[in-house]
Amino acid sequence: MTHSKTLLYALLGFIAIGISGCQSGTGEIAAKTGKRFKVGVSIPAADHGWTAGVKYWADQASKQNPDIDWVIQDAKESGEQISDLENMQTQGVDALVILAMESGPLTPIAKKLHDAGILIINVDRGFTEPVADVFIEGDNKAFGRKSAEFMVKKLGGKGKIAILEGVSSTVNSDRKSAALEVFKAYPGIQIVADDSGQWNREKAEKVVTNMLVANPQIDAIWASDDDMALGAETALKAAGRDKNIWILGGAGMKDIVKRVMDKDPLYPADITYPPSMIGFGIQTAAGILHAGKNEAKKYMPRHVMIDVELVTPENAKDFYFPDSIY
Amino acid sequence: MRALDDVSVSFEAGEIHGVVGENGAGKSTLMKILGGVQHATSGVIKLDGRPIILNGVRDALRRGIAMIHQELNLVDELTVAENVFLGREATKSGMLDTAKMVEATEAALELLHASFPASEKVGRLSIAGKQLVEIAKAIAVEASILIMDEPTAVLSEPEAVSLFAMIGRLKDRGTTVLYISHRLTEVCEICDRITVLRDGSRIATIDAHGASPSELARLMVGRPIQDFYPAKTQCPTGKLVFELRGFCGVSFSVHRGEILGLAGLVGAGRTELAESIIGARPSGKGELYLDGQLCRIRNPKDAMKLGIAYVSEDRKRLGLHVTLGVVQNISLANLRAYGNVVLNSQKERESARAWEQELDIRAGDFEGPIMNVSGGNQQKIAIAKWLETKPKVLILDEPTRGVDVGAKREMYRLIQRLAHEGMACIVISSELPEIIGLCHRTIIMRDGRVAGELSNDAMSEEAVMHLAAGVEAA
Amino acid sequence: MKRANVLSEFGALFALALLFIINVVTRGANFLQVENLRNLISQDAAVGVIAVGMTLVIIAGGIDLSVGSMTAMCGAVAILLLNKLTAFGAGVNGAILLAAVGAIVCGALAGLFNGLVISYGRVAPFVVTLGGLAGFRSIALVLGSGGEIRSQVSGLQDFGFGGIPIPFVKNAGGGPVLFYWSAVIFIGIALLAGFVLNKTRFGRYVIAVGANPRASEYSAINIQTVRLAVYTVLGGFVGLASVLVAARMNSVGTGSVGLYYELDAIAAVVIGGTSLRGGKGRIWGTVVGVLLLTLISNMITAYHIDTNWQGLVRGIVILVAVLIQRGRKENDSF
Repeated sequence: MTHSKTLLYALLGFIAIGISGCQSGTGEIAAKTGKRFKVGVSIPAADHGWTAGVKYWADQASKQNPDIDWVIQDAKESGEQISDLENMQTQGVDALVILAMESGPLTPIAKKLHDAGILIINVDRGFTEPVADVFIEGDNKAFGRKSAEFMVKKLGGKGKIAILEGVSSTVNSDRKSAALEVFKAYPGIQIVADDSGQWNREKAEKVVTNMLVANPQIDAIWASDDDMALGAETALKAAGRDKNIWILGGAGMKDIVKRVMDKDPLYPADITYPPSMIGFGIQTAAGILHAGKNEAKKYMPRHVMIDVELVTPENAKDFYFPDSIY
Repeated sequence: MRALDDVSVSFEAGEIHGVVGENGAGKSTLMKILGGVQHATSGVIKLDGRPIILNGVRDALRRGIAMIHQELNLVDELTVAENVFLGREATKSGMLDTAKMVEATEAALELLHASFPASEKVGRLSIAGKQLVEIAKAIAVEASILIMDEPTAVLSEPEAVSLFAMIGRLKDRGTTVLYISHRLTEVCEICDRITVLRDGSRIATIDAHGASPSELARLMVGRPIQDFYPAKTQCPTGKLVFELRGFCGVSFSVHRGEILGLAGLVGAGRTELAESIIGARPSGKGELYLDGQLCRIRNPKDAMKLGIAYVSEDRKRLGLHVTLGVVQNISLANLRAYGNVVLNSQKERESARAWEQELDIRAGDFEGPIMNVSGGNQQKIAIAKWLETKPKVLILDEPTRGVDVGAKREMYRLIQRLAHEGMACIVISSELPEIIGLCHRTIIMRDGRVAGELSNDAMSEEAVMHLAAGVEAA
Repeated sequence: MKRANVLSEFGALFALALLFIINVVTRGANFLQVENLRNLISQDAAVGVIAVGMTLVIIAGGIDLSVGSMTAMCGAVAILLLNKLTAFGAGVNGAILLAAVGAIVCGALAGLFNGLVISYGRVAPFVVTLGGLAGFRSIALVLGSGGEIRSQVSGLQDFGFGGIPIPFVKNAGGGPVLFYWSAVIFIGIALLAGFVLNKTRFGRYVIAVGANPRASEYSAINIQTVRLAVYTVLGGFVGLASVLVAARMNSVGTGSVGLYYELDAIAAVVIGGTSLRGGKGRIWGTVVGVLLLTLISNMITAYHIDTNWQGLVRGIVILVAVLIQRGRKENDSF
């Protein structure tokens, strides 16, 4: 009896030691000395291609700044992300680069950390109050507008469109509202279905399957995201309705860009929205810290909007990066 | 502390050897060692003259030693044949050889004169039937030694008679039977020799022919047992405390200070009646009167409030919380007395200690779960629990089942004392000597109805049996 | 035999102490910062409150899988109430209090519903609360139209990050370090539940009903009432927990709040040594279980390990905890 207990305690001990042994070499134990900066990067867990891209670019960008200690953590849901941020605070970070899982839930903690003197760089999904020192986002309104305008032009102002939106956030609402504004201006355009695929391939597939059942005629799908577009494609193929219909996704996934380049009838165009913007956020944080927060504040813009581009067969080769992870 | 100390016994082939002793005398430890469940710390077991070591129950079974426990280890959802071969299924080229198993089971059942086929679901059988299945297991494995632990505890008289006949047949086949029982009369009747254990040692091995229960009792306890049953007082005819009129089809009454016996065969409906009285079972029509007032009892809480207490037959499952301690068990039915919201544990503990004194409860580890307390002491705890509620009527269902001689005696004295102090006691029992020895009056039930009533003078085993079975006694 | 029992009785506590020491040794002053220690208690306070309530239900012989979804539903109710009350001109503190009461009542009603179907409807707890898992989430989603419900009262997040100043300590900015209300509430609820379980008549009945329902019935206890009560109490605790969650995020994501809370709560209860069979258990064990799970999360962040490993680590911890506690005078696995 006692033998197995000793064994079990040893096992527990090994797990703990194993965990502690897995530290990356970023000198976690070193306290804040004043010279060496420490920055936390808090991003969502890679549950779809785009967020996987974010993780990749975060790693890349941080490697380019080896003079700063980077703590990169991904979280699976908001509560966890809040805990991650609190933990980063106790580890003495000077700045935080945050891509929020959900806009609302992460705002209070961001505000608190900002008030505690930590530099906050907000990337992509904005907070519901302007608590960040610098907010970097893609121009989601342009995203919605440009994609919708393309669709209207291709349909000749008349047609039935299904809308597939993403996770509730400023990103999503900006895109969707801009697109709807465009569609509304054309009475010949009918929105026959509107649902959320949660920026997830499987979810999108399920949702589109239901849309197809409910609507015998759909001319095009405003999918707003390439992962969801792929899910929609699977649903179309499974239902045998992948002819005479096309999808407009978004975010510039290399596979989709390739298909645009190859003039695939299912993907006539795409919109860029690069996950590498996290890299931009990381560089910004590094830059501000090196320049000194107060100095940098004098010229740093509070809100940076990255323009998005419409990818067509003509210009697709400019946006095709086969070695990219996304 | 040693359970057994230097016990040497030899068992002959084809003999029925009784093993008796008080609880704690070492019977179960001895049987566990012989059955392969436990290892002896010293000494040797010889089978057919050769020393052997038993490594577990399966090993013992392989060598032909089978043990029939009091608690049956059967799976209700499977058939008799499946249970008999559980864990030792016969296979033919990787698949179950059902035909072979059924055949072997049928052969065993025939030997036992069982009334059911091998394909019957065990869950459907009576307890007696289930016991036969356990024995069939042993026969199927061709056991040469059968250890039986309190086999008649759950059987009715006719079923017990049937069992004895079957044991006789096994004996004729050359099987050795070790028969452990508290029922000394039985042991004297069917055994060839009897070993008496006391305090872990073998006191004597005597020839059963000519032995008497009182002699056995004396050997077990170590001193002469007089007055096994306390002297009976006169049959009280005072106030009528409790009355049933057509309640579940039954009518009788109990006087203040009376000990009323409720006799009958297993299945006569006595426990069901008691459960209906306290509201644990729906009661249908009929009326119940307490001190002349008509009472409606919808649940055990109502019964408790009115002053009717029921000490159930199945004490481990229904009567007590075996994972809780002595203190928690005793106070449970009367918990409000120790605090409406917050409990006064000091008071609880004092109360439990008082009962410990009063009823001479020996619980070893007072704070720990009462799981390992002996049957007799568990029974005392259960009684203490109900006495806490200060009942007017105390119904005791098989109060001395699984209780050793010494404790039985104490129990009878206790019941007598309670009655003397004014409590109306209803004692449900299947042990005729007990009914006759203890009770002022007896109601005999048969098939859920009252078959008859016998007063002090008219009570005899034959008379009770006659009414209980509805036939002339053999 | 005695020594083995001590180990298995206090197994979870030893494990917590062991991990704590390892952290102190490898992370030093950083780990021992007051803020970090406080975070260990406050980060999972909501799950902790739920786990405490779950302990009572499990001891009584039941289980409740709907607590996560219930949290989302009660949280939605809390924020909607808060917004409505403030719109009608109520003062901030009053509105928050009333919203909290509303959430607690909502939870208690949901728990009552579970309890009624379980004890009087005689449907197995697993099944009923599985239905609740789906049903309550659905109600939450309807209330929130599938998305977040945001509080319009910033006072709520002040409550979420407010608390009692810890004496003698200052944070990096020179201000006080607060012992968050969520941590205070978690500890308070644990103490209350422990008291109720061990020192009150009701607590005794909970243990008795879980240990042996039929014997309890025969002992003149109303087992239906006891069962009904524990589920309702758990529901109330869930309502309270939902307020803690809502305050931390100043919003409730009706699709995402409370996900897997039931598993976390049950894991904490099991690690703490309460048997899923019912009839025995301890609240302090559950608290240790919650702290252990939080500490593991804390370590995973601190040692920069991929969060995806967290599930495996937790699974191992649960297994180890159960195996260690097997020596405790029970011979079933549970």
